[in-house]
Amino acid sequence: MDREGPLLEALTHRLAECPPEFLLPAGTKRRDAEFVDFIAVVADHFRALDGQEIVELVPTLANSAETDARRQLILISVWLLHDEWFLGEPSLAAAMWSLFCDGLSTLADLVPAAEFTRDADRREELVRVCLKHLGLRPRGESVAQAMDRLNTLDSIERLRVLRDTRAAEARARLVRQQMARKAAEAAAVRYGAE
Amino acid sequence: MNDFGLSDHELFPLLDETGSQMLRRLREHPHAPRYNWRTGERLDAAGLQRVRDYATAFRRERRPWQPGHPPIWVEPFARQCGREVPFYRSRGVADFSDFSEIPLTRRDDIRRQPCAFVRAGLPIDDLIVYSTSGTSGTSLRIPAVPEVPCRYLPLLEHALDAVGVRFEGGRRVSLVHVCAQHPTVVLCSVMSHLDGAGFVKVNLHPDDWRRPEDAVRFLDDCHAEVYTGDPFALAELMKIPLRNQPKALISGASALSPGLWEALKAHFQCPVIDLYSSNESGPIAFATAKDHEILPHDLYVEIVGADGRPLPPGVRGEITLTGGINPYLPLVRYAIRDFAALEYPETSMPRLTDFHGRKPVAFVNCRGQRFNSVDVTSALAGLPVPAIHLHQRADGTLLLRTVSDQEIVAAVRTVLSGLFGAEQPLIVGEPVGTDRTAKPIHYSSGMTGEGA
Amino acid sequence: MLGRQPRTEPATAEPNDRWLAAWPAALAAWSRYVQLHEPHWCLTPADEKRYLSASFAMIRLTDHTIYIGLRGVELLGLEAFATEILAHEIGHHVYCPGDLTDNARLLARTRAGLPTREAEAPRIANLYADLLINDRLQRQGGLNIAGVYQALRAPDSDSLWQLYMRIYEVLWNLQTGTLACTPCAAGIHRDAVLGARLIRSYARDWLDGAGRFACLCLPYLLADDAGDRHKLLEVWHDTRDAGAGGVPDGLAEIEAGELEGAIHPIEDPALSGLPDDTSAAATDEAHAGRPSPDPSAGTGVKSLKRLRQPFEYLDVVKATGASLSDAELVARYYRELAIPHIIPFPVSETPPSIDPHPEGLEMWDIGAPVEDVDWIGSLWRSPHLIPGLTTVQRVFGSSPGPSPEPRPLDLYLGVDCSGSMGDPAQRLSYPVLAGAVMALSALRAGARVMVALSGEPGRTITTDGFVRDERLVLATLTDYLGTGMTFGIHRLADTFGPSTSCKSPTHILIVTDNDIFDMLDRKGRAGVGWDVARRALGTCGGGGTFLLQIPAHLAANRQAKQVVSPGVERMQTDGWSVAFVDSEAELLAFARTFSRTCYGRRADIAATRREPTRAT
Repeated sequence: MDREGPLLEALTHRLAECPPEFLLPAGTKRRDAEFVDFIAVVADHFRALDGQEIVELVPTLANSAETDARRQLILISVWLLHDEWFLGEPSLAAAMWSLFCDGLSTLADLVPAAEFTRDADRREELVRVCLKHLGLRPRGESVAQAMDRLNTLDSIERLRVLRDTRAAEARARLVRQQMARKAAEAAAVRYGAE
Repeated sequence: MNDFGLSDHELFPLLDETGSQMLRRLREHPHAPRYNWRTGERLDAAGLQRVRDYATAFRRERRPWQPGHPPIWVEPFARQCGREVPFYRSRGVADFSDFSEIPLTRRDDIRRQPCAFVRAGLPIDDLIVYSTSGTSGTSLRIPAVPEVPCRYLPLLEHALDAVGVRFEGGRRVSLVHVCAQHPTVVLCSVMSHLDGAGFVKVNLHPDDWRRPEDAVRFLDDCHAEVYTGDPFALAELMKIPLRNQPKALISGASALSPGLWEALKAHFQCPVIDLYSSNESGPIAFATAKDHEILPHDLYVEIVGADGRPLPPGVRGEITLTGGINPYLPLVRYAIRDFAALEYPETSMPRLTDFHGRKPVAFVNCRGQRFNSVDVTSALAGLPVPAIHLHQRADGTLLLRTVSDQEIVAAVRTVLSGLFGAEQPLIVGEPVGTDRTAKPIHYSSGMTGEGA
Repeated sequence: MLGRQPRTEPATAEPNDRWLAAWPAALAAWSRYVQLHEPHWCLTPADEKRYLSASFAMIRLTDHTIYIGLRGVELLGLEAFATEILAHEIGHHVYCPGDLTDNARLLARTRAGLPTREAEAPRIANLYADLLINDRLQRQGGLNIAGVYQALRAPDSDSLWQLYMRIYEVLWNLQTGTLACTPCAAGIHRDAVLGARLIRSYARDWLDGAGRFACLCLPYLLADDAGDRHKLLEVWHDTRDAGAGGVPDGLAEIEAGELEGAIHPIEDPALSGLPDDTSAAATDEAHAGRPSPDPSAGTGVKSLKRLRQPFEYLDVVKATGASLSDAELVARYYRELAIPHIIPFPVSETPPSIDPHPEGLEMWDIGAPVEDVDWIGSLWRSPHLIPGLTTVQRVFGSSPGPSPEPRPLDLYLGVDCSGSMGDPAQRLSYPVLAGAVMALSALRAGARVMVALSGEPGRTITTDGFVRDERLVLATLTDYLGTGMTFGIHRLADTFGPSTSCKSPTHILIVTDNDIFDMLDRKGRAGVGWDVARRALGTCGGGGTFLLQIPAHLAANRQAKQVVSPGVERMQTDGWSVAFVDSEAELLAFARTFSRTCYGRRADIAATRREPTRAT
């Protein structure tokens, strides 16, 4: 995160305006008007960045991103990074390619793609993940601040921890409720003097 | 009457003709006490079978051990708790290499989060809760299931067997538990493990009887096989002119002084057993003469020093328990704030010696009447008092130490003036510290020298 | 120790320009249209003692007041944050909790999330309100609330305070350690992220989020003892007496969503981001434990109300800071529940054209209906009542007369307060509620009511005769002595005996349980209980009812029936109505039947056998 990038708010705002077509199933073949042409969109992006070599690799990405969820997240990220600020930085093309290839899969597997446009925390998380991968940080933040905030929002670790805790928390609540029932208070007869 | 809306069938799933008659007889006896708690054994056929299995396991597996060589079930038990019980899991107990390095558990841990001791996977549909009174601590809420108290019976039978006494059960009222407190639970029930025999818990305080003469007539008619109670209550029982004598007495809850022991034996002409037990673990040890023999088969007892490490035989330290009668409150190195030494006879269970267990403390109110320190704990039960040290000086003045919260201090003072009389002088001392090893409740008397 | 050393300058004489300028700025932080009167500036220690406690600010919702302790602010070094402090206090009035009713509802929902720690609800509710207000002020009001907490930093604070600070850090994108301590424990971090999402998600419908916030805090309350925690929370516990001076209505009922909202945020997929657990076992367990949702939801049919027990009602109201006594609150509770069931109270009817007046006494034939006996006349003849020998019967002639005004019957309400009846302040007592319904109905109709609360042998307390004061009647009715065995039936002689002539026709309603049969058999000063009761019934002129609380299991019990049934029969033979009330359904049935039954002058009504009313 050596360089300062754009303002965070501008990018989260852009994500909030992501066109809904990007969230539909991303078929690679055009079957009807509703499907977004994955290859075309990604290729267009790299063309705009003067990344011709990468453009030729794009069809492989369509295959290696195995699930709809992964493809959707890539498309949303493409939308995000098609912002003017990034289009003026063709040197970032290689980093972007690497981001799309394997920087987003885990996240896509854990969180429904729509959340990254709909939910304020997830929008911010996606922006920060992308920026980090590109070696950037939001304008006006220090490296420490940016790292700290990304850690706070990070879904991968967060969901793992929550999953572990949820079962325990649900069980604890049940036990508490059972202990509070009238029938529980009635107890049963005891035979010791204590 | 505390009626929790449970039908007789829910309270006594196994009720048969014998039990039914016994229950009617106890409930509708013309001299019956004023029952104020409607509950029952709540044991079904599966539960009774588990109690029988427990009795079998007790007979088969009860084995002495030598210092440094705990019974083989202890370490696997601790590891399982570390994996499956939320409280122990959060402490990382599962990964111990040396059992004696596992940190001690204390009463406060249970008091704060009783739910955290319920093992994952245990069924909780039939959960019951005991709120305990306190001769020696603030009230606890203990999760359990109905078979747990029934497990006491095989253990009591073993203790009675040691003095040559056996329950007849069936149509007898086998067990009568006497209290001399106010207020307390008064109830009647039947025991499936003893073939429908009767059980009554009575309070010798006159308020819990319709007419003063009812107590002696009811108890005589019951003709209990065994009386249980704390020393205070058993001493009161001696004042009642009973015609029918029991086969044995079992004293519990606080230490039985040798003087009272002899007096009870002489008065009732029967053996007297001192049972050392705790709400958290169930019965721990019993004495027929002097030393207390460890009773259950599934309780490992250590004596530890201030650092939590075990002490050599004969050296006095804190009694620490692992295991226990209640699967819903598994104990792993639970330090119980009683002190004794352990000795290890070759062929019988270890014995507690040099034992000064809990002692009740008698207080005196402004009219010169004595009452039990348990009444103070009961009276304070509704207040959020985490700690109280109450000392009564030789001149009757009360010295109160509690927390620093002024609201609580004021509330406690109100309660105490209700018990002792508003004229009783009371001094409020330094707040009790938050040292976790100190007893949260401590009573002592300069008038009687108790509790010092 | 929190706070700086006090300055050596003299205490502030009056609010300086900074505070006076801060006030309009604080109002503007919310909106141009907010109107509140200026705060009450506490300048002296006496003022502080009166209006504040450990906090430097306080609000009261009844009169929209804000109290500011200028010395307290100074001691904590917060003078630079005058606008922030004032805007925060304004927020309690315009946003959360806003008014007395919502304040009480907030506390009820917070309590639902704090089983075994309900007493901490006011502090937890305050933290929740503060988070909502401060987040709004920091992000939309442009104020520096973060600065206030930075100034209040206390390194050794407990885990609940750490969680609270960490939530602010997450909400406002502050680096870890700005407000809370570093390193931040994993559990606190996890819960703070959930807490921040909670505050954002429920900013508008904040009542719905209160239970979740409480559940989030509960483990922290359980893990620590009170200790130092209260000190920090008290510093800005400005809502402690927010509800003082007013008790909102409607608290006796548990509202829809109040209990259901008390789940841990981790179990709310919208907050945790975890999909609903698909494993069947977990789902079953989770659903089994969840409080059942309102069964009528979505059907448009109003379900049976869920009622709070009286002791819970007391706790909720007291948590708001209301300063009524326990006794007053219990009376309020029963009043609130009774009002919807008030019935038209019977009037004593006389046929308009015939005005029977007594012409004399003649001997009563033992075969004639018992109701025809003039007990008072009989007793004048001979103090010893021997039916058929000394009992006399009034002979009524009739003469035309003006139709008298229909008068509502007065009500004598005898309530058993022995141990077996239970304390109405603890558990909802349907018989006492029935008594309240009857009493309020009578008072509404313009009648007078006398309440006798009795637990004999023991004590009896009564109102001073027949009164019209509703508060007095309810206060006596809901009191509790806990003495004795049952209602002292012999006491009826004090009010309905020969020496005290009861001037107006009165209905006698005795609320008790099966222990009364024992007392009826006993002989007292005025005779055997049964006789005393019968005589009173004869004298009162308005009929009488025994309202018995007999739990279902006892009613079904064969042995119990052997005592109860003949007793009930004898009551009815003597002329009493008998009703059983131990549930809401039975209460309603009794009320309906009572209002349909007509009580009138004895001589005009042939004895009709009255069936005991019991809901099936």
